[in-house]
Amino acid sequence: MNVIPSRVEGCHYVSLKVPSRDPSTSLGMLMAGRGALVILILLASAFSSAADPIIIGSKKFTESYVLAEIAKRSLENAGIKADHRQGMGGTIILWEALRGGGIDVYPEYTGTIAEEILKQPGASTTQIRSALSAQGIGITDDLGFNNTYTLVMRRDRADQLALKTISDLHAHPELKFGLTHEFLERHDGWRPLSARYQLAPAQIIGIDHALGYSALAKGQIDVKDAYSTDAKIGDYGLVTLIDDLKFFPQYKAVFLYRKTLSSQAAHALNDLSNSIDEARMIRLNSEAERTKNYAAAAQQFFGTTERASPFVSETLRSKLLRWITRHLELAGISLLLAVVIGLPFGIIASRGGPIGHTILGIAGVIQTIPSLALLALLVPLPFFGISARTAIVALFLYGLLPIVRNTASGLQDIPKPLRESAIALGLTAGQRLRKIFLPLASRSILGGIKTSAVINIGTATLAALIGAGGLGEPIISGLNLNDHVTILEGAIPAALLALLVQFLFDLLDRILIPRGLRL
Amino acid sequence: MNALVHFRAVGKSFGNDFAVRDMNLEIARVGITALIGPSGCGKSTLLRLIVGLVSPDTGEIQFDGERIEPDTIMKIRRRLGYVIQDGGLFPHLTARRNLALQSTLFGKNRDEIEKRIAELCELTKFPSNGIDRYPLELSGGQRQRVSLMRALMLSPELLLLDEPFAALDPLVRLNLQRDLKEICAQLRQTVLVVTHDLPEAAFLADDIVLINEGRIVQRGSIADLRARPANEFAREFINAQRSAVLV
Repeated sequence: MNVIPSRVEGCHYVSLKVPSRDPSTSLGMLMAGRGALVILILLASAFSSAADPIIIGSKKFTESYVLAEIAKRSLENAGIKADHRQGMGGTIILWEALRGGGIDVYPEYTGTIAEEILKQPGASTTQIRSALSAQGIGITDDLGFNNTYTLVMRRDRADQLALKTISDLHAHPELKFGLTHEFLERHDGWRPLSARYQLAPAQIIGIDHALGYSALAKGQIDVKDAYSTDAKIGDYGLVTLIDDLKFFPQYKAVFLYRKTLSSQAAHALNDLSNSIDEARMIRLNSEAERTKNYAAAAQQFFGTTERASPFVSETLRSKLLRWITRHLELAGISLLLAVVIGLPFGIIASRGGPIGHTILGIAGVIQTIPSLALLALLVPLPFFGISARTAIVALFLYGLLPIVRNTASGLQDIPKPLRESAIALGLTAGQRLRKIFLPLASRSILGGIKTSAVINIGTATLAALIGAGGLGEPIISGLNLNDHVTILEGAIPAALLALLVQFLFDLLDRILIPRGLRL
Repeated sequence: MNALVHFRAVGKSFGNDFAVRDMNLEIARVGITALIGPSGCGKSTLLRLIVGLVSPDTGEIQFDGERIEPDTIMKIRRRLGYVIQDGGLFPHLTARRNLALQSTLFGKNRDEIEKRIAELCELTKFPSNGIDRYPLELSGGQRQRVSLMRALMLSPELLLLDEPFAALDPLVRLNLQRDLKEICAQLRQTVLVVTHDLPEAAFLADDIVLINEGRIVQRGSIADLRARPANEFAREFINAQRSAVLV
């Protein structure tokens, strides 16, 4: 996975705001039974926050994290409470969250604003500013660096051939190019670039971004594409070739913020303009990747003399605790919802007929939607957005099928003589269901709930994709940093949790399945 | 009208198969009546019609002068006891709770229920150490005793037995047949028992109804049936059973 952002495709990782400010709006969704109230209270207590700090979002790559942390520090230095939540999503998702008030601030790049958000390629700063203003969004002056595509080479190789600009490459068709697949395909990538500079190298290979760096270091390739503030440029001591024909668009970093912010807060953000140049950003990115600690990198920006107490890095233990707690909240609440709603639907489905088939059909179709796609479908809906709520609803939908199906089949599998005996005893339909049929189907129903629980524990790692946190956070962060240790920090607890849940449900079987059925 | 159950021109088919055709039958409030006939002759369907597990296509059935229909069936079921071949005991409940289930749901108090259970255990000679066992922990014969007790819990006006002993081995069956006859005599219980076994019908019932292809072939005592079979089928049915006993 790339260490750096892809600007156009859906690879933008975003951080977002987890607390829902108005949990009462959850009501409509949850009016599906008596258990709904309980769940509502759970939801509200899990996600409401007492104060209203400024919420800073960030795209999920190192630089965006660091910039968000810098904004947070800057606001806090001005005495304003601020929160930085980690997560991810597409640019459009972050943008919508900003417009909708889900977040208050996030770092963005001018090129992305012009091309993706406003759909006005080549718009001037003034045009951008007024177009944003019309939507209630403010923009700071640029932070002082341009994070655009660039071509990089090993310093010794470039010096040897006296290469300083991209134009200089024209005279050296023997150089081997190793380019990311994305760069090869982009409309502002290799094809128009090579046409503009009239480059026709003898050898071009498509290579993964991270692997490309080591190939460059070993001399297997000579030239590769990179982002101009990529930490690896500093780490490997690479040279950036100057874009002398000004081919690449400008991607100057700025903060976008809601105009409803206090002027004091806007000031604190604007104070950051022109304070970070490329070299500094590279160092900060490098620091963040080396320490795996974005807050520490941000701290470096403000100078090491500053007291560090409120910003001491979180210990692994407390991080794990936070991730696991959130993970269990996500999986647990969604499971509870799936049980409360899945069980009645399973009972209805067990009666067969067109309604039963429809219920099982719909539950089955939901299951076939890839989880990422389901999240992507839910996020733009007004009620959902990027929140834990969305993650819970997605997990709930995934949890439905096993419960509905197992409830239905468990009830259908009850032998006819037992069914008829219950009827002949003169029990009402409700009594038959509660006293006879559900207990008889308990093994199957619990099996379905167990399957749902284990699926939910696994799938809940994807909640981090929409910033809902949980053990997916280190997994995605680790993928992003190409850092196996961080991935394992999330993956191992997630696997252990799944095992634990399995084990607990086996225990629960002994309690809930009547002994007479276990003989 | 003295009959407890009255079938009037009842017809019932499943798909293209007629289970019961133009059935007219009265069951008096006295003793044991056996419905006998070959497999698939419709005798079990008659019981199922009374319990309301199936409803007639034509005609009507009255229980104690009241027509059996969706509005009345719930009340009528409480006046019936119904035992099927496999007992129909709920495997997730102990024998005791199988017995108590219905009474509890109908609001009887605990002491009353326990007293009745103790009474029935004695009556059916059910071992007291078995009462807290689950059905799967009981023998086939014990299960049928529990099933019989369950049917008798609310002192039903009519006990319906559908091949109650068919799945049991001969010795156990014999004991149960004897005990059942004794119990019913003691309780002055009105019983309608379905069986395909003529000796069983003859042993239990004074009144035997021979059924074939959904119709009544002959009704009478075993002596009547043997002495004056109504037609060729009746003769064959009786002779076949007699030779089975001889072999």
